[in-house]
Amino acid sequence: MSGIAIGATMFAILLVMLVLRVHIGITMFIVGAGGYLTMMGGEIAPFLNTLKNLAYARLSNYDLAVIPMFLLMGQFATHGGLSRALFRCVSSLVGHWRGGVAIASTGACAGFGAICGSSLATAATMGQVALPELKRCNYSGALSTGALAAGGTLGILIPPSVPLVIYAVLTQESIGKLFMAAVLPGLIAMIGYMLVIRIIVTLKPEAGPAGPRVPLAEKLRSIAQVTPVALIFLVVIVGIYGGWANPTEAASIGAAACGILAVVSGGMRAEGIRESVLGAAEATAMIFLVLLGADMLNTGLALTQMPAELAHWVRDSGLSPLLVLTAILLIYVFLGCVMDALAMILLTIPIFYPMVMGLEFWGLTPDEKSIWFGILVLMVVEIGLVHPPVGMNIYIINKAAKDVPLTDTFRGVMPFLASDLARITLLLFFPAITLYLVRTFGG
Amino acid sequence: MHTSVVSLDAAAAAGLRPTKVCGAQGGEGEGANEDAGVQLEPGSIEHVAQPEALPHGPWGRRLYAASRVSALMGGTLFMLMIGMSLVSIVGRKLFSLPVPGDFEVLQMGAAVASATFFSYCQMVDGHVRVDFFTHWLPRRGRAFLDGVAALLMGGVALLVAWRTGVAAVSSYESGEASLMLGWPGWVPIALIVPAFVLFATTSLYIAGRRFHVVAGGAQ
Amino acid sequence: QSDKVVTLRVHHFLPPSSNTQLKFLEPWCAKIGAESGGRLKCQIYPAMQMGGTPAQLFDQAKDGVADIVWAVPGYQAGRFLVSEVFELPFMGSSGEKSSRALWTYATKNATAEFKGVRPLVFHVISGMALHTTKKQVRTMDDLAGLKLRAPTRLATKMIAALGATPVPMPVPMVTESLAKGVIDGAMIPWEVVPAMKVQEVVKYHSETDPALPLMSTTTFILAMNPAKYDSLPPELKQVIDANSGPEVSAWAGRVWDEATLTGRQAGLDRKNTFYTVPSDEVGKWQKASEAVAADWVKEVSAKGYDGQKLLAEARTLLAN
Ligand code: NA
Ligand code: NA
Repeated sequence: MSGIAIGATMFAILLVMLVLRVHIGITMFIVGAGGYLTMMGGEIAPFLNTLKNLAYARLSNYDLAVIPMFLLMGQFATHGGLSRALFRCVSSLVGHWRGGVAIASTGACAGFGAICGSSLATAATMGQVALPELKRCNYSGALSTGALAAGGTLGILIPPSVPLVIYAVLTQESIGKLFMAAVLPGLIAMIGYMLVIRIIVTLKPEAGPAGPRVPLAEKLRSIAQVTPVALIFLVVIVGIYGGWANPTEAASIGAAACGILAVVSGGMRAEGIRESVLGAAEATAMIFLVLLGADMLNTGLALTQMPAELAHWVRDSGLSPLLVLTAILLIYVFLGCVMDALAMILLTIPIFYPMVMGLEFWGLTPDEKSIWFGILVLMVVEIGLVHPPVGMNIYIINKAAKDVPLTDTFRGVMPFLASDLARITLLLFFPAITLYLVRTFGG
Repeated sequence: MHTSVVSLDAAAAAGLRPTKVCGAQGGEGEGANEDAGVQLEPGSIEHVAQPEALPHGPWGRRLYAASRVSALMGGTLFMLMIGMSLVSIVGRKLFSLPVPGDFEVLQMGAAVASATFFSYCQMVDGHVRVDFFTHWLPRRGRAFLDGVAALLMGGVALLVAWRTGVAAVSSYESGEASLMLGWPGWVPIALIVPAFVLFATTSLYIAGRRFHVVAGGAQ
Repeated sequence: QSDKVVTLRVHHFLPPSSNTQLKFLEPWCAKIGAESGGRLKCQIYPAMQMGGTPAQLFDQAKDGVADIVWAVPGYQAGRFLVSEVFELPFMGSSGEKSSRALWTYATKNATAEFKGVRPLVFHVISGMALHTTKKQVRTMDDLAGLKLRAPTRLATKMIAALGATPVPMPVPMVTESLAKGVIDGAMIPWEVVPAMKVQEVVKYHSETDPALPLMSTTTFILAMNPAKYDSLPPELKQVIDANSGPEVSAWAGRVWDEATLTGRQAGLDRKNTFYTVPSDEVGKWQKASEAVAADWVKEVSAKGYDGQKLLAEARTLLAN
């Protein structure tokens, strides 16, 4: 059997096990182990010996330590009421525009995304804060839930971003460079969502009526309240890019600062700290178990030589690189119908990455290509969070907005998906946008 | 309409866990609309916790308490390392004097701390899986599949615990040590073994709960 | 039965574009392939594709996870104390000579450490230099307080002994750490400079007088799983034997001596500032780092070896 045939068999078994409710990490582990044993001719000793190294090697990875730290940082921010302060600030500035409260929700999502590495946490937290306001201002259910479900994705589009850390670890790319490259596309995403809201309320003014104007003193007060958050974000980002700290250390600074802020001004107490720790612990375990499984799977796949064979085949096929890349991106959109962002990245990057790196795009250097591809992948897996039937953000927001039918939310999110597609096309054809900051500030 | 996939990305699952969520408790006195907030039960994100998944009976409660203590210990260790990183950055920046070996201490500490989280995640049914294709099944059908899944998880956890234990022994025998501080390399490896044993135990417990449901026991 | 093709799984931690793969492993594999009439074949797995970390490579050969590994014993600090002597400051004069000497020394004195694998090649990486971002290192005073990445356990001690602050970190992190100012410089071999683009983020390179012993080296082993070796028919064993030993080790050392020249060229092309520390200054460095060798003797003696004798033997072999 060729490597590709064994690899394909492994993927078929993997899908069956996933359908039968086996946990993703365990599925990957078992399938990887099966592939490994097959390639070793059924000899069990090498398998048992390679397992000796699996857990400690993965868990002691220095770069991965940023994940629990960023998760803890988001937890502290949540338990310290920072999301409410953020929303109130943006809302006091633009709430009196037509559609302004929805725009403020998006802006607050972006702000929260700047200290939180996860989309669902961003969607849930901001939904909690913004939905009641949107309802009070008589915004349509579709616009409210659509804007928040899409806005939640800014949690991973704007750094820090857990999927980017995983991509960095899988591809040996620099976390700092990937975060830097994500900044402009993340801002473009935010602006795109805001434009969508403007267009919707221009076409249908009753969907997003203007709110009351807020007095200047109140505006200033609300800005003052989010200043610490902005400072934390700056410290983390400048820490990474300005050179006082590597990402793990910067995440430490961020987590400590958010924790202190939550205790001092957010009223977080022992119970809140415990909840934060347990929350971060659960999410970390969830991610790391899939990582352990992915390690075994990737080892098994490497032995089959399937990724290398596929990459060679694609390179020699004479297919246009852009065609191949577009096909890959489409596969992500389809996988997003049934799978989660991180699982998709862990499953596919070992196969797609060598393929893409073997092709020529716009004269990019290998390093640039790898960063650019990482951001594109982030953008397409993010779509999976908001497209039916199983976009997690949709369900989180829809559940929070009790009186909005699910069909309204699906309808509401469509215009935002259109802006996602426009943005991905833009970034696909103009890699310079993604690479601008990396090229300017080096690294 | 149930969602299929639980996102890995669910740092959420976390923030969502207790019904009082997120920023709402920020002491802002604006909780008037709190009932509109996300109200997720323990085990949260949609698909998860069937009631039978939750800690139940004396053993369930004990295991839940043990896994919670384990996760809190790991979290404390992480916070200590955050403190160490801060001291190291300040020391390096101001006095050109980083905490010696901060890099390797973090590696060892992070490995031990992360391992303590798995069992807690299992007890609150936080590990991710695809639910999309099977929610039409009757409850007992799903319980059966979930029981098998938990059994497989327990098996893998035991296997990893065993092999990691063997790795700790060979590391001890080879006498390897960390680069800067010369700390023995086998200690952190050995310390993650109990965490995986607890993880395996919780998984087997949950498998038992699910098969109990299959056998007709509702509670 | 005799014309069955045997595929050897060769595992290492560097990318497929590295000198290790292109200039060492692939030629070595081509050679055993040709000499066995195509009956020995390598499947090279670069970049830890078979799982684990670089520090675990040695055990992967021992345990049969891989058939052949290219590994840095020093990544498991304290485990390979006896052979570590070649990583002491100012030992040896070229990769070629040191590698031949290392083979002889290790196969005689360090058999206990390398038990469980069949060593095929021992070699060192020569051409260690100090690459700095802000300040050229000319004297020991320049080193005071400088944060320098250290390549090995003993180099860590040496850097501390010279008055700088050693920061051990894996090679892939070096370039970014230099660019970000997390470290002020790195002690790394020339060979990895172009691969990591170090020449683009530093301005200064300081080398020690080439007439004097090398400032520092890192030792490597190409090791085979003994059971795999034993399973080979005699004529294939012979091919492996013919491609291992002191002269093959010397060839490997030469490969890295040549890579040093290419690496140096990258710094020259970039028009960075070079400086050769003259012999009287190097003498001071040697004196300051004598304690490192004394410490090593103590550590090895604590394990029941005659440290003084081993050090003397290594020096004699290197002098030949
Ligand atoms: Na983010
Ligand atoms: Na999805």
